[in-house]
Amino acid sequence: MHGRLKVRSPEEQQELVRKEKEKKLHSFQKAWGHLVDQRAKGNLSSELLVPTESLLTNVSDLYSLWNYRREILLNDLASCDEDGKKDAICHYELCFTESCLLRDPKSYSTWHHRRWTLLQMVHPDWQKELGLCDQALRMDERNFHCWGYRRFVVEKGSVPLDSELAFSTKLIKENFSNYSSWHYRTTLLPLLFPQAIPEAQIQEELKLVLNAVFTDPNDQSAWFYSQFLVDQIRKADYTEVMRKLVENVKELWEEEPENAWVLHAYVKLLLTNRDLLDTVGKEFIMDGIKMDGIKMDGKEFVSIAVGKLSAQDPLRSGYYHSLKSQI
Amino acid sequence: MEDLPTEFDLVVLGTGLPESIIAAAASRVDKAVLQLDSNAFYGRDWAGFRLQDLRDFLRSCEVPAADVDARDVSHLLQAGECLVTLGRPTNSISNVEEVIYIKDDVVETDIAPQPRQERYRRRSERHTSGSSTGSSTGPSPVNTPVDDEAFPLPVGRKQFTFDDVLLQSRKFSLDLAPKLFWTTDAFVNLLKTSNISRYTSFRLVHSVATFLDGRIVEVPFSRSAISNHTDLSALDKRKVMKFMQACMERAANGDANAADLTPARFGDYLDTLKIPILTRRSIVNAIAMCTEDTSTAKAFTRISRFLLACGYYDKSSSPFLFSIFGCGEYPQYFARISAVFGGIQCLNRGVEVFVLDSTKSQVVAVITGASRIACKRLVIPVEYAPVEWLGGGLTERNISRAILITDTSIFPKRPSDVGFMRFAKDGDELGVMLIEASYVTEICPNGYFVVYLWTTAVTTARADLEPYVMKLFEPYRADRTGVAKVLWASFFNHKSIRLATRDADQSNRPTQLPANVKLVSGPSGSLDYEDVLKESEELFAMLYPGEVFLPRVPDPEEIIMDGCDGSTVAASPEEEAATAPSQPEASALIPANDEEGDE
Amino acid sequence: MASRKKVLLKVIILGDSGVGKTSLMNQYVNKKFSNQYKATIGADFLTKEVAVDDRLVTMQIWDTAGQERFQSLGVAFYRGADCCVLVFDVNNAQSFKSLDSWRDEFLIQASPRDPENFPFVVLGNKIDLDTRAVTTARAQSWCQSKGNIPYFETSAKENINVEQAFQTIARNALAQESEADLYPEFPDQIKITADHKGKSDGCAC
Repeated sequence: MHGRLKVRSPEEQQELVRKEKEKKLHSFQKAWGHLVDQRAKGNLSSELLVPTESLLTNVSDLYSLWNYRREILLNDLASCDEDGKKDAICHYELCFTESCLLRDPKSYSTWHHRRWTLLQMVHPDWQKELGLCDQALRMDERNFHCWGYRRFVVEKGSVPLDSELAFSTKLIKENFSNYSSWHYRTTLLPLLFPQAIPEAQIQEELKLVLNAVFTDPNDQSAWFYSQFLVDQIRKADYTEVMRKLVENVKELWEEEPENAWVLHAYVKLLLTNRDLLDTVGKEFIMDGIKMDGIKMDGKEFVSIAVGKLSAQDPLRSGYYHSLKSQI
Repeated sequence: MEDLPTEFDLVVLGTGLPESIIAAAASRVDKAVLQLDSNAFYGRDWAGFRLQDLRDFLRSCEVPAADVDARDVSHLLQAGECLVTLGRPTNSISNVEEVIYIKDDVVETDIAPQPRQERYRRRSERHTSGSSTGSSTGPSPVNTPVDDEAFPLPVGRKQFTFDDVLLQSRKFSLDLAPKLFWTTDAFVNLLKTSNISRYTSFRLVHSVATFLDGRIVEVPFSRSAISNHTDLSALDKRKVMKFMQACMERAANGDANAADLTPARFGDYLDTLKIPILTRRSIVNAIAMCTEDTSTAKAFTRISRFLLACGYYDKSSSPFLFSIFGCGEYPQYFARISAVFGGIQCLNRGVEVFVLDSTKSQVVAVITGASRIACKRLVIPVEYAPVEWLGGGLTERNISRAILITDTSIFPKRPSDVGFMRFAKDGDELGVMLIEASYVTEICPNGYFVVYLWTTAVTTARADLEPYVMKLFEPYRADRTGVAKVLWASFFNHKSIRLATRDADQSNRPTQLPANVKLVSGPSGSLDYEDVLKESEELFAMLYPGEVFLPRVPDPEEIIMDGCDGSTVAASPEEEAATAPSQPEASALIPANDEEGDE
Repeated sequence: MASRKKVLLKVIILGDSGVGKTSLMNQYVNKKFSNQYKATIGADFLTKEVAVDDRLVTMQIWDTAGQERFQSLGVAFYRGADCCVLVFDVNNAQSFKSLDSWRDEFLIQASPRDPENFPFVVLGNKIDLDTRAVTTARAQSWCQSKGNIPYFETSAKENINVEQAFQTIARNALAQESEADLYPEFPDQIKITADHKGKSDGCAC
């Protein structure tokens, strides 16, 4: 039978790839040497942008090369007398860095070059930059390079903070185990409401965070945010809100009496709200022993609870001890 | 056209999915394969069509197949051989009813009216099948203007007429047997291991929903869906999540089949959980896809399968994939693999007669047109087998199906690209299945949605399914906003015969079936392709024992062309990135570096 | 300037059987020619990286896999083509006459968004033979009548004009690429690859 399929063996494939690698290394070294040479000579011809681009496309972290590229670009920009032309040069840099970021979204040098580019532009399109951030965060919601870049864009582009809050809500709704977006809220809310966060807003925040902790009481990021909210509620002195929150957490604790995160949150809340210390809960079981919460003194409860937490998590016994001393 | 070669290792009649999978697998192990189909299109009962082509096809199913005058082929016989005529099954598709739901409100217009027939013909002149465009009304159309009266064009608001829909006929790709894929199922795995996945791409099914108190409610199956669900109280969320976690633990420990689950009836088991009704419905209808009477053990097997397939692509993703361009493409993908490895496909060409050897135990050839084509083995759909080959032991499956074109998504989650929903039906494990797909799946143009419904047939497809359609949609009227409307629907019954015990177990093989003939079934009502894959794989193993089933198709870079020295291999860009030297190597070549200074 | 994202172009080659579709592809990608009919099976498509102006694009060139012989090319083959290459044999008048129906077939099956401006390229192959049956002028005038389709006379055997023809194919296919929505609301389509590993934590429950 003619035309039978012939396939390279894995070894042959590897050999080909190795040869190819060697060839590439050689040409890389050659190109690199040439550029270093030209830079030493002070050559700022824009023709040299092409070879820097091809090297940076493959390895985005060659920061010296980015620096050389900026030297050349500054020279080009200086010779431009029209805003449109300047922005066209910069627009190319944006496209180029975008393709680099798609390949390596965690390169300091590339994000830096993008910031630099936008600052050179006469009419930067900040909305488009936000779109890029959305996309990059969709790929990796915890890319801190991108979070940093986003804050830069929001600041420079005067992006409305409420739309940023909505963005953070969207991310949390997609996946609430996300420190970055919870943390983003803790920075946005004080900026949006410099005096005190309005009660209605607090209610919204509580809904978000309670949904998260009821769904997964082991999620640290949501508990971390709840601590921020408790501070805000106390500061603004929303007593009714606080009472309701304590009730909610109590409800969760009654459902999950063995969960350390819930118990800890409950204890913290009781310590924050001394007046509630007397209303621990009804019957509950702890460590297999049925306890009568109504009869129990709040202080007694906290003390037992802290002891339990401390036993489960001996590394932080000092911390729990300090809780105990607050009673 | 060239003449066909006259000898093959394997002749496959039909281009349905199992036929094409077997053809591809045989070609992959260097068998000479011929695949014939009397239809002019790929896929048989698994085909996908454009809108107008689907209408034409379904209409043609209502016409009984004309008896072909037996051609005298006796001169093609050799001594001792005898002829057997193919089984002539009634059409697998019946009770076709097309309904055009669009009410043609008369709208004042300043555009000169044109006769509708002419307008349609003009705008669709490139359409392939010109024959039926002149009389484009179904067998029992509702509200279809058939006269040549003045026909208004839409003005000022989104007003569909059925002609508007038809003008986009080619942007529809409608499946006779729509399916979903589990992210983790064996068929998807085969696509991966065989490298056939390079032809395909998918959309994640976005929404999974259930029907509760007359409205469609999202099924809370993922952490984020549970946490955002508006119909569950905070405490309910905790309970649902706990139940899901317990199921996951079960699944992970592999004891999902354990019979220790009591009560044994799933409905009774659910009573013990005290979970909210929404969750209960969600679990029965969409997650376990069973009834309250299903055994608890079986329900748990299904729940595990659902949950294990969740979150495969991102944390909140559903367990299902929908194939871009629909399922009608799959027979073509496999047929192409067959062709790439030397197989021959020939459409529009049927076989009328089989040639048997003197003992009637082997098919030695098939007769197509006036040619005799010798074959060592033969694969045919069950329906094509002469009655005397089958004996008893046949079961007939009858599925009621509906294909709808609608204007709005019925799923609450936005943006909505693909959604799945199932209604439980008493005493029917299949229930009523529903898939809705938007234009992002490329099976319909932007602005429309395609909805597939199917269930085990009780009476006619329309009687079985229209009540569900009316629960979910209103017939289209331009002045109604905020409700999902149905523009068009086609209902049909889809029958397929299968051997009660497939011939996997040789002892149960119909006794009269020649030893070198294998039979494949038509599409079932199952949501996925796992049954098809299982059948195809088993048949292949019987045809070619010991041969590998669909090994990986090499990538172009791996193939050595004749006389090729291999120096031109192109590394993929990823490799390029990897091969470029890392920074330490590079910086060794230059003087110690300076300024990160322009920050 | 368009976005500098990586571009993959799907090019399909159509024409009667025996006009040299596979050979042209092989000559272009592998710099190989074989007189043997259907010399290699198993090659589904070939890929080649080409530079168009300063953009690097990957061309994926799809062969008919012989399915044109018995008119059994399904619609799936035509999906998503960025350029269609029509090939005929200059020594075979029938293969030239078939171009009309190949072009129609393509437009019907692929139903491109903008059929008037869809990039076709016509190749008159086997000019190394001395038995010409279709004149250059005749071929050119057909191409002109179909909206100025670029026309090349090639020899896969002698490697004449093959590089130039494919360069034009790449360029025209690329020009067809509209600037796609950079940040679409919908997540992208999912491709399944053998090395894709699902999130190990499975369902986030």
